[in-house]
Amino acid sequence: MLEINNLHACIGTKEILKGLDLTVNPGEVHAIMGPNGAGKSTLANVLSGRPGYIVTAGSATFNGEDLLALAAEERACRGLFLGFQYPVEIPGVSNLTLLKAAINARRHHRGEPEMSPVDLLAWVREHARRVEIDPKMLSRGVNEGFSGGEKKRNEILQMLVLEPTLAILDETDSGLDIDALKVVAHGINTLRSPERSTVLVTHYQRLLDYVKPDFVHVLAAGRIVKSGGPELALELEERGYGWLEQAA
Amino acid sequence: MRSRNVIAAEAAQSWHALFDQIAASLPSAAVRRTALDGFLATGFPTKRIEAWKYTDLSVLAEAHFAAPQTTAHPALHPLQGATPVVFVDGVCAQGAELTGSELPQPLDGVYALNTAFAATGLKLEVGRGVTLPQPVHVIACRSGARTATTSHLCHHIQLADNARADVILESMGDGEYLGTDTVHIQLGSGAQLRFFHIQASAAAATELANTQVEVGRDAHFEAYSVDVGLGLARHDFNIALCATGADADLKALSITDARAHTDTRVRIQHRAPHGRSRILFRGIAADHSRLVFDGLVRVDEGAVKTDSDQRLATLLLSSHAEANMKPELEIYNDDVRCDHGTATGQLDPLALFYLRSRGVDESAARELLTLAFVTRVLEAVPLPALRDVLRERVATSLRTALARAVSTRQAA
Ligand SMILES: Nc1ncnc2c1ncn2[C@@H]1O[C@H](COP(=O)(O)OP(=O)(O)OP(=O)(O)O)[C@@H](O)[C@H]1O
Ligand SMILES: [Mg+2]
Repeated sequence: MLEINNLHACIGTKEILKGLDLTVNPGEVHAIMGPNGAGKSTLANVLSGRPGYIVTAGSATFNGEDLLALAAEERACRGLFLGFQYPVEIPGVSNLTLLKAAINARRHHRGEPEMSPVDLLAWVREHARRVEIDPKMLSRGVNEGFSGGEKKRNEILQMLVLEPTLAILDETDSGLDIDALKVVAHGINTLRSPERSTVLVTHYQRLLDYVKPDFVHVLAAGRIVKSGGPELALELEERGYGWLEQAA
Repeated sequence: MRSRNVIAAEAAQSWHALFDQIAASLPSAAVRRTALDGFLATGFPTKRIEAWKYTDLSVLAEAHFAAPQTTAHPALHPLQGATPVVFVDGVCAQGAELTGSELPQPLDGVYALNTAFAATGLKLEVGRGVTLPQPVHVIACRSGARTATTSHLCHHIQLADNARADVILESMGDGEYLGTDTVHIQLGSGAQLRFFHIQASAAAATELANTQVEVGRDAHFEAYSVDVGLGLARHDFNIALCATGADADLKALSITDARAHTDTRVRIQHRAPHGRSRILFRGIAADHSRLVFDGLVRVDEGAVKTDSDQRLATLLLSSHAEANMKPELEIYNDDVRCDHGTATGQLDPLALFYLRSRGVDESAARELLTLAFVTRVLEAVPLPALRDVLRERVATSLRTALARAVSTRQAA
């Protein structure tokens, strides 16, 4: 599904990703952990097509297609979803307007007719209930005045509504209370299927208690320096990153 | 430069001829002639005059204008459920007009033209305690088919104590013309007027509007100004909060594209205690256009407990577009709460990426964000039918402006 080889990426003249390799197969859940500033968000941003990053070497393919050659919206229409570490507030564009535009953009891409407004509203409301977002909030500006936790739940709502085949969730678990964490984890698990994959960027084992990963990777200084199974996360919780950074 | 604003002898002659043709036989001819002479002596304003710093009309000094040949006008669409009043080229075509004996309040500067020439306009008097059951929709349509024309309207809106009304004033046209509209508004104690001004001038047009408002005790003046014209438009609002508890709330939005030039100048004077005023402006300038918003709130010595706020913001869609915002406060007592702020910017790149990351293509994302910028004004429009119409018109203007912006970017 996702194949990253020797990826190097810079912001300005500063190299952040320094030869990163990662393979994600259909149906898998990968967790990426690592110290602050290691390049986790940079990886997520480069994969989703955020402007401002320069890829200087390496490749990334998504279902065999060169991901890096596509515009951000084209990646999204092909089934990629980025859950933002810091979701953006957009006053004046309602959550519903965004979801409507996003759903119909995908349908347009697949050559399907637009979803009827009635069906669309029902579809969105059903998922809003699942992530415990008050339907009234749907008519508010995107993330406008949302609390930290509400913003993260809103990212999950968008993910559920858009049904991506590959979701990259950048610290969607940060800043959540226990109940919200369960809601978010449940949302992620709902989408799990043999055709869909998830990449979780996280600092905490507690999310992985609810969403069991197939693989855990440590990203340090712009590279994956160690990969393992779920037990690696537990080991990191105990030992920190020092021993790995020295090895890198 | 200096000599240009003086009306050329030839042009002055044609103004006199025009006066003899259409205004000499009107009531108050002497007042009108004095106004015309006053105008011809000072000429069209230039940038040297502080109030016209951003809008130079001196190019009109040598122009010859004819009386319009009132013929056909484009299809007009009065708002559903509203009482239509239609003026075509300065002549009433439908609805309640000003009675002939009404003496226009003399104005000076370029608006003296209105005093000299305006023969008609809306005359609305709402009696004590009466609520007008439906909005009045005034449409002023102008044309300058073969020659440049000039036409003028003078409206009066008077609400007695505790009266309520909604008035929509819409101007439009095609071809080359110079139009002036003055609006005299008086609100008695506790009266409430919701006033909507929509300007959709043609590219070769000059539209000058002057709205004078006197707000009485605990009365409420709520104004919505929407400029989507392509020509040169200037709107002066002079609002006086004359008695205790008077309130003025102005929300304005301007979208300028191509070579449009829109200049809004608001003067709010707090003359009495416990007054409240609000100004909210959103402007979007595209292509080679220019927009100006100059807002002054003046608080007199006796106007204690004044509460005033002014928020201006513009968005530039092109590096050739220009925006000037000038919020000013003049305060003559210290028992007040007054604030203002301005912001000029481009679309938030992070918001743009957020939308694109959800699959929305770049041009649609730009459209959403541009529209979002003016949403606070649009969504505040209290008449749902009008709000829908305005939403559509604003969206259309923005779409055209954005499409032009894309093709210019690609050509560059
Ligand atoms: N616009 C920028 N200009 C310069 N450096 C930047 C910019 N954005 C990020 N960086 C740097 O890139 C490095 C990687 O940042 P990134 O956000 O990818 O880290 P991260 O692994 O996600 O960290 P965290 O766990 O704190 O979220 C950091 O050193 C950061 O300071
Ligand atoms: Mg990060």
